[in-house]
Amino acid sequence: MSKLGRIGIASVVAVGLFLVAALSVTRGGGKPSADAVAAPGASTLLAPAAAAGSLQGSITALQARLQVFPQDWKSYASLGLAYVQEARVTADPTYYPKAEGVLQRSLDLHGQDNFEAMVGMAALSAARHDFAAALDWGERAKAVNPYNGSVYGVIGDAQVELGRYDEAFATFQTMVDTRPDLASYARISYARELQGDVAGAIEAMSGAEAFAGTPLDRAWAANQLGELYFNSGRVGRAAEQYRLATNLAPAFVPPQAGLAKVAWARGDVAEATARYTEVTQRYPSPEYVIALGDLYELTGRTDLAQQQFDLVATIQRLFTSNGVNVDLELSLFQADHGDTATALQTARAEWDRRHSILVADALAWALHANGEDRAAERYSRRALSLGTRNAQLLFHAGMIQLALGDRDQAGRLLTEALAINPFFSIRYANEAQATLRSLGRAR
Amino acid sequence: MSSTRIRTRFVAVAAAAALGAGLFAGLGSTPGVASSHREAPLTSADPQIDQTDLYAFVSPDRPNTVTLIGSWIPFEEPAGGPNFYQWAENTNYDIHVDNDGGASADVTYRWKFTTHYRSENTFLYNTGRVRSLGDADLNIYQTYDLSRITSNGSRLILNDQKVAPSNVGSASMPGYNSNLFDAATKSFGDAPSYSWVGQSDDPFFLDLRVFDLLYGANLSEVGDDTLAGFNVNTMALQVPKKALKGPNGNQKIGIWSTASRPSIRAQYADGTQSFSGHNVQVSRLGNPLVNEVVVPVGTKDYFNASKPKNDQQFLPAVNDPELPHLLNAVYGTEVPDSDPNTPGIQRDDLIQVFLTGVPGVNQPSNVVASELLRLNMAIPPCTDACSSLGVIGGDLAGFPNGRRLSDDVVDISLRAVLGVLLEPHQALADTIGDGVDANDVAFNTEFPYVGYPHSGSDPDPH
Repeated sequence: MSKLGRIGIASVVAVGLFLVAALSVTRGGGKPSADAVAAPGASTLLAPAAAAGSLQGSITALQARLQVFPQDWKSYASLGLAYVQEARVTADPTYYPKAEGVLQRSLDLHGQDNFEAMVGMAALSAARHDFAAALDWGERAKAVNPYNGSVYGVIGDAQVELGRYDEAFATFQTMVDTRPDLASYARISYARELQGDVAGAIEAMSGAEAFAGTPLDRAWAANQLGELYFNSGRVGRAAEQYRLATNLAPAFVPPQAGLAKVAWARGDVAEATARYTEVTQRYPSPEYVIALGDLYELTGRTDLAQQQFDLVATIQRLFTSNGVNVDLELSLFQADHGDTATALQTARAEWDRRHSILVADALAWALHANGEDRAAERYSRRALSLGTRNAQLLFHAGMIQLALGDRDQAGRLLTEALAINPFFSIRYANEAQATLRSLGRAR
Repeated sequence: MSSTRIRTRFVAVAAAAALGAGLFAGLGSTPGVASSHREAPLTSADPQIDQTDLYAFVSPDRPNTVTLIGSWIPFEEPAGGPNFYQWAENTNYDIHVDNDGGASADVTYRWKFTTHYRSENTFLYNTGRVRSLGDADLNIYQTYDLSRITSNGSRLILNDQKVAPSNVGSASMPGYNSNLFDAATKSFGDAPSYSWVGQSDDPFFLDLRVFDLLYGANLSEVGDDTLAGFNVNTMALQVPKKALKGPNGNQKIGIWSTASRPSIRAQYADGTQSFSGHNVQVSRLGNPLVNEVVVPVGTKDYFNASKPKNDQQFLPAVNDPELPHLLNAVYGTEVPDSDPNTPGIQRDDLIQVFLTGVPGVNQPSNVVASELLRLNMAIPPCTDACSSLGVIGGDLAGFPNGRRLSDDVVDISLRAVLGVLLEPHQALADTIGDGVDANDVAFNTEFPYVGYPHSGSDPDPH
């Protein structure tokens, strides 16, 4: 690090790592002062704190600062992270090329041990689903500073997505042993969830929530708890957590989608449709658009459904053109919507890149859609190899067994899927029940 | 550009950065393309374990006692509702005292916090006017347990004591200063001992723009207390000197503070569940501004997890810190050297300030070099000719002999780094500073000494 790095920079690690710019003061061994709230002048720009607009405010402020201090590579790194975040917050992937530009600028100004920009590149790569690159940047950042918890976050996340689970879980253990906080407890929760320990996952996520230092962080953890409850069929407890999250952070969209899902699970399709409509207007992520389309389809409004599905294709093209690889998500969608040959092609392409259980599941489902059920079974086994209590994976496995003619095994798997979560899919929950009935094993 | 505009912008960046950090963590999970790729925050906004400052001084009004003060959660905006500022649960907040120079804790005071909600049906901090610490309208409140830990074990000194709440504003909390702030002081023990925990004004004062030197900022522009109008969470403890004295009556003590939290296991072999992972130190603080002088660049995380016993590793960095080189590059100032006859730069003076204590002032015999705030309790509090420049201002009762709230540690550190403790030294070492010489708020003359917090109803606290 340059000698000039000494004074202002020593401080900017950890929480302030990405976004603290001018105020990276070091007031001692504590972390940098990252948690100010808006001051006069700033407050009008930044309020409301919980809205996506405040991130925009932070971007504006960083841009202004960089005009005054164009050599400030730290702020370029922070801006890059902010752009990655803005892409997520707004579902607008055109921020990714911008992020790449300023992160590269930061590295050009200060390449050697630019921890922040390296972590930024890792986060950008992960956001674009290039997990091999994310892992690579994460390892480079770790070589610079192995004592920062976040670096284990990016590395472990990439290992999970690449299907390297043993390494991933070891990385998460190092992360939480380096810094027990919301970020690391949340990953321990995910590791437990993947291994089928739902109670342990809930326990760890509750611990994460207890460490939350801001309402937004707490809302994030509450939403995750809502997901854990919903995915294990506990709709009432899920609803409590989603409501808590929306109360804490009204602008945070995921728990609103959770409440839409809850309404559907409780049989209130009208409320679910209204809520999903609002959610997709605020945040047009393919996941929510597909859910709304599925709801329309469920109620026989096929024209409206088709509109949503067409929109998905448009959104996917937008992501692809901004460097985001969406093969995994595309494949499931294509398999579910009649484009089975393409589904298989995209799933195979993704499997060539990485071997996560979710890619295995997508490949199994695409093979099944193409009638290749022997091969599908192989990948389906792989998808279940961690013992994950995921109703969708089990439903796919059951339908594959049915296609192979093993009615007993199919019945067992579908029963298990519905026992875990009878509301696992707007599209397939009814079909799962009906199939089970036809097998004489109605629940 | 006017100073005011500069300041506004810098505060804005800080604020934006802070919010951004919160968003980064909080919204990290916003689904990207689909839920198949789990996104969790990389780092969480953890202001609650972000310690800003540590103070230790012989109490001016009770000179047979020592006061220890720790401040946490930087940049608390007074109008920070609706959630305001809470201590973290499941976290050990510790102040350690080394009383034999051995660089390990001989006495540790530990605060642990519990958050209480009177009503689970509301997120409101208060549901009506709050006139006392036990007021039923204070919906969210915290209590603390304070323990004293020595080689003889841990002893609970105070149990379930109430924390003074954030100062929401005059409409919600009329008479805050006396009803809530003053009321949170608790005496205990037979000798005079006092404890207080709550929200206070941020006692630290400086112009943050000194840290923009490296981007070509000009020190002639500084002079604003960029921390004016912000609050912090503070714990203050006043104990008799005898509670801290070491073997053979040693009064030269070293003080540092840490926060630690339990880890957790990713995988269980036997299916059992427990939070009983080992404790991990996540924060460490002794001297102010230690990152500029002691901790090598890029090793801040490492320092936060490190133990004073192992501080020998930081000696080379203190012996030739980068700051003088930086100032040399920008201003052409001389790079001081305490031993010009030895090749390379030597800084025995800084090693004394930051690692060993100053001989004849606060250095204990047989000291193990370690980054502690060192206080000689035998030096009486200053009564006249007091100087906010402490020892370099001729006032031995101030920094680096302990640290008082009023000590101007930025100026002291800048001057020390430029060699003010060496003779001869360059003229600038006697004058350099950030232009901010005192806090924006008056300190209290009695325990807990910190200033009352800025009110949430103040329309312009900065």
